[in-house]
Parts: sequence; structure tokens; C-alpha cells
Amino acid sequence: MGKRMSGRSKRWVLALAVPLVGVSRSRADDSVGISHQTYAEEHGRIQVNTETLRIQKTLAPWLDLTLNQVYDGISGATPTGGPPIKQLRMRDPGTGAAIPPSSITGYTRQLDGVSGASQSGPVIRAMSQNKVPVTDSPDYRNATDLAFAVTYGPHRLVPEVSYSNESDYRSYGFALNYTYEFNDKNTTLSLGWSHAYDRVLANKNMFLAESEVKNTDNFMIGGTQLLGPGTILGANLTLGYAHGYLNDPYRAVVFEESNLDPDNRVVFSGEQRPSHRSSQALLLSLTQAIAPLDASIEGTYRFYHDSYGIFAHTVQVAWFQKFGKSLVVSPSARYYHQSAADFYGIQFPGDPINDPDRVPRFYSADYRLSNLQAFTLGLETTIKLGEHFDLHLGYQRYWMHGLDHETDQSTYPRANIFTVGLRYAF
Amino acid sequence: MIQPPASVISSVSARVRDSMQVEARGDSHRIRCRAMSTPVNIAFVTSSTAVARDFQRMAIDWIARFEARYSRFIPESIIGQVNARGGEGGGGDWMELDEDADRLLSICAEMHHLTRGAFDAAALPLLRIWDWKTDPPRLPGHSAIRAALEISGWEKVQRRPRGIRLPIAGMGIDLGGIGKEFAVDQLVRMARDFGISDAMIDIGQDLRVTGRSPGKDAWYIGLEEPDRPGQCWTAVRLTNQAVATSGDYFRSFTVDGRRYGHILDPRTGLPVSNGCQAVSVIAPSCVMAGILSTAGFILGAEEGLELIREQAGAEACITTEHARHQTRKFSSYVPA
Repeated sequence: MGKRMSGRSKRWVLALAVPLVGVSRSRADDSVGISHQTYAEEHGRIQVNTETLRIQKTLAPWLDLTLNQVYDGISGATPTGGPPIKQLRMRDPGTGAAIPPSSITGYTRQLDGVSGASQSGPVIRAMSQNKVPVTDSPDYRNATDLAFAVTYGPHRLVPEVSYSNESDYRSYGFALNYTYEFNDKNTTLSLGWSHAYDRVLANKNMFLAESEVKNTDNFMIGGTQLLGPGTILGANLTLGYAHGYLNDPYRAVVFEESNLDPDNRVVFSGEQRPSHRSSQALLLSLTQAIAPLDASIEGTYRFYHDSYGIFAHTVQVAWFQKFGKSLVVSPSARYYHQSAADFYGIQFPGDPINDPDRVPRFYSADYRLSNLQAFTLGLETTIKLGEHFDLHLGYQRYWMHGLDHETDQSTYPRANIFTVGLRYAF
Repeated sequence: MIQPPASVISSVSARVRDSMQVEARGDSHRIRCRAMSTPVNIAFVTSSTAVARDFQRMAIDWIARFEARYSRFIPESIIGQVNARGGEGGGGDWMELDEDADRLLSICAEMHHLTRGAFDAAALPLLRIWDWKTDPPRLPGHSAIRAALEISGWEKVQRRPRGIRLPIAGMGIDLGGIGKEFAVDQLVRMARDFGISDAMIDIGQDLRVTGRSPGKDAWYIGLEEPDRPGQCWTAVRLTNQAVATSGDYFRSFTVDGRRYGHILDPRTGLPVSNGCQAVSVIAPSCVMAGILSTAGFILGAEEGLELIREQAGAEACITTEHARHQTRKFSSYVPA
């Protein structure tokens, strides 16, 4: 779920940013589109298959409707938190004596016994000393977004509602975006607000006793400016504030004085993040049409900072090359870098039960909060098939890489992302 | 009065002792052995070496003696003799029992009534015709099931103070579903008598705790995931409760594409087939947890939860093919 939580937040930020990318608000055709995307991490890690139905319809000259229906099927394993055994620094809670990693057989989740029908007990196998612990989290997600765009002269108001449902997560969202065109439509001003009310459900979660609530607000202001023939500059600033239960209930941490169970497995604890998170994101974009080549190039830069102590920079360049009237090919490259959250670590001092005084106030071993960089290379094509159909094919290669020299590199995913979509315009 | 011979008790004791492993780490002690055809796992805390040693010895002796007295697979046990002389022999004679055996059978009677017949210690004829171990698996015919039903049922068992009579040839008693649980409760009582306040008794994954696990604020017990035996879908935090799980996901066979689990509904004589995969019950005693988990499994999610809600201190989670159903306060046992 943690992965989707992150994705959900990004979706809202993107929703706010999208109106600013294009300077023109020219109305799209009525259309129905379906697409399939496979996000597949290597080595049996997370795989997400996404089916999307998108309907756009002009209901009146001043009213457009957009409906998105998304189904995600999620499978595979994700790092639980905690380092490979060989990196552990464990101490006996009673004597303080160091426990050599070679004597540790694995990880467990606070279990003294198991109640079940198999009557054979859990199968204890010593895990590799060199691998990060992972856990399976199969799930699904159904999400629906519905937006109505109301246009009145240079004004455009887009209220949007959304609902997302997972076995362990519910999200209810509302967004309101406003754009105003002036200066002969060379300038656009945008304002946006979104609110998400999320419920994290206790079902199946080891580190969550009862359902919890999270509220997230994002406020955006931005605009675009036509600088010259074929040159568009865009900028927007998004301020976010989340509060409530911000932990990932699937993420575990290891304390130096955690207990070992009778099978010499380290007992995990749940993570603890601050219950408030404020963020600031600045997005700059520049699009340049290159008429002699029948192409355009778009560069974007995004700066992000939040109260967790994360500073992030994203640079992306995309080339859009048109071939004739029916084919657009778009290679792209993206680089992302972030610093670590203040409370990130691979292991923490003390133990909440055995030595609570040494336990830091906040702690998380979620690799997504570590100092890291990521690269994405992509190639997308859109092929016009006759008068009404567009076929979209895309491939992206994604690498994430840790930079702190502590977090094991196998923690970070490498993924292939395939997309195929068909759109019918009428 | 029916009693197992001393030689049988000695033989069982020797077998259980041979399987015993003892481990001590500081004040934490753990005993593992195999008895009643299932793993036994006892964890307890005491700073006294003498107490630890005496409790270990007494506990193992008690477990072995319990198996020797009540296992239906031991012909010389009390249950073995009752089944042989009272049922299989077709005699219908009254048999005299000692106080402990009489009390255990009284609990069987109470639980039969409490569970509306879903728990039935006199359903042995049905167990005999359903054999989950034959290869290839074999289904009993309808006539065999009908015949077994006619000689099954606790209401046919005749009892008087310290006496039992099985009036119909072929009747039989089986303490599966209550024997291990009874033993767990007795061992917890024994630990307390030894002054041990922190202990966990686990017999075949039906268990009861008292106090706290070493270094923790409670005992943390995983609940097995029916789809992935050996892994847990959640844990419960217990300090003075028992937890038992019934499920047929581990023992079953398939004939002509249909799956037959090993838990029988004694009212129909057929394997339970109501969509339940596992029922975990938390209760003040292991007998109560075990009986309610079995009954909940047989009765199904709706009626099972209704029954469990009526019992003081009992909470449950029922996993079906499509959902998990919980009583209102079950989640209060799930640790943060």
C-alpha cells in the first residue's frame, strides 16, 4: 500500500500541474480511451497491472466531462524495512553484549507463537545473510475520477471528485482548479486546491491496530506565458499539508536491542513518522517548437522540499517528433535526486520495550525516504489509425539507486514499464 | 474403574521425553516436545532454576499421562477402552470413570449443548468412514454416512455420576477438538501453581498465555494465513487469554474436482462446505476458544459469529473465501 500512497499523492500534484503545461485550452474531441500498463520491478518485486478507461465528452458548449476509471492489480514483494542480516548491529537487551550477525537466522514480527490449523507451526528457514527482508503485499485498487470543466469566456473552473478503494485503504478526494486566460490568450493564470481524506484500514496490517485517518491538502498557483512563436514558459508552486496517520503500516524497523525470538530471528517493530508533513514544490517548464524539424522539445525542472527534511530535484527532457500526419515519436529522459528524511535509517538505537530512552522520536527504514537518485528513459509513440483511432505505445526503463552507502543497493527497484492504449474520437 | 495400565503410561512418557528439547536463556525457558501427535511448545519465565526444572518435569509427565489416558488411538487408554467395551464391543455396559475423566466428559456435554450440536465428542463413527489419509482418496457412500449418523451423537451417550454407557454397537468417543485445549488450560493452571506468572502453553497451535513474553508487554501470537500455511496474516496481543484456530486448509482431499476438508459437520455427516477457511477465537480458556473455533467453522460466518458473540470474553475472526468477518472487539487484540 505504501507504494500506492506515494503514487496517489503524486497523482494529485500532477492533476494540479496539468492545466499549466499547455497554454491553449482548445477543447478535445469527444473520446473513449482504454489503456493497459504493466509496471514490473525486477527480481520478483512489485508488479502493477493497470487498466484504465477514460471518457471525455462535451455535454454543452460550456461544459466538458472527463471520467477516469482505473483498476490496479498489485503483486510481488517489497522491502519490509531493515538491512540484510550481515549489516545488523544487534545487542543483547540484558547484557548489552554484541550479537554477531552470523548467529541471526532471519526476521520475524513480534510473534511468540502461531495459532493455525496446520499444527506444524511456521516454517523457519534461515534467510540469506545478504538479502534485504521483503514481504508480499498482493492487493488491488479501484479508482474513479470525475471532472466537470465549466468554461465561461476566459474563465475555466474544473471541480473534480475521486474515490479509490483498496483492501486496506480508502481515499476520497476533491479538487478545484481554476484557469484564466488573458493577454490575447498568451498568458494563463491557474489556481488549484485539492483535498484527500484517506482511511488506512487495520485489516491485515501488522503494525496498525485500528483504522486511521489521513488528510492531505494541496494548494497551487501557477501560470504559463507564450514567450514567442512556439515558446511557452510555465511555472507553478504547490504547497501541501498532510496530517494524521502518515506511517506506512507495512514498513518495519529494527532496533539495536530488539529481542530475538527462540529461532534467533530479529523481532521487527513498526515505523514512526511525524503526524504532520508540509511540502513545497516548484515546477518550471519550457516548451519550444522546432518548426523546420516538425518537432518540439519540452524541458521541466521540479524542486521539492518537505518538513521531513527531504530536498528533491527532478529534471526531465522530452522530444516530440512528428513523422507525417499519423505518427508522433517521443523519447524522454528524467533524472531525480532526493536527500534523506531526517528520521531515515537502516537501524535505530535502543528498543521501544527494552530500552525506550534511546529510541529516537521518529524512525523509518522505508528506502523511499533515503538519499537516492532515479533515472527514467522512455520512448512513446502515438499512431493515428484512420480518422477516429489513436494507438499509443510506450516503454520506460526505470532505475533507482541509493546514495547513502548504508542502504543495501538491492533495496532499490529497477523496473520496466509498458503501456498500450487505444483512443476512439467521435 | 477404567484406567490405562502403568506400562502404557510409561511407554508414552518415554516417547514424549525422547522428543523433548529444553532451552534456557536467562530467565526464559522453553520446552518443545511431541505429544498427542502434535508439537507441544511451552515457554515460561522464572528466575528459579529449581522451579524451572520441577515445572518442566511435571509438565511433561502430565502431558504424557494425559495422552495415555485419553487418546483414542491407544487401545488401553480410557477412551480406547470405552470405545472398545462400550461401543465396538456392542456391550452397552456401564463403565466407571475416575473424577478427572468424568469432568472431561461433562465438559464435552456442556460444549455440545453450548454449540447447538456443532461440537460432538460422540461423532467417532463419522470420523471412521471419512479417511483423509487414504491414497487415492475414497468417498464414503450415502448409505455409509446415514448408518454412521445413526450411531453418532452425544445425545445417545448415557451418563451417570462417574459412569458412561454407549448403548449402540459401533458408537465411539473422540476428544479431538477439546482434548488438547483442555490440556493447555491445565498446564497454565499448573504453571501458576508453580508461581510462574509469565507463560505460554501451545499444543498443536492451540494456545493460552498468562502474563507477558520476556522483554515484551504481552504475548504476540500470529494467526496463520489459510492461503499460505506457515505464514501469518496478522498477530494478536494477549496477556491472559487463549487463542485457537480451526480450518480445513491443511488437511483435505479432492475427488472429481471437489474439495473435501477434514472438519465434519456432525449434524450432516459431511465435510463442512460453507466457504469458511479458518476461524480464530480468543477466549478466557483454551477449551472455550477451541470449541468456539470449531463450532464457528461448522456453523459458518453468520451463525458462528452470533454464537461467539454470546460468550463472555470471546472474540473471533472468521476468514471465508472472500472476506474476513470479525466480532466487534477483535481488532482491539491486534497490536499497533
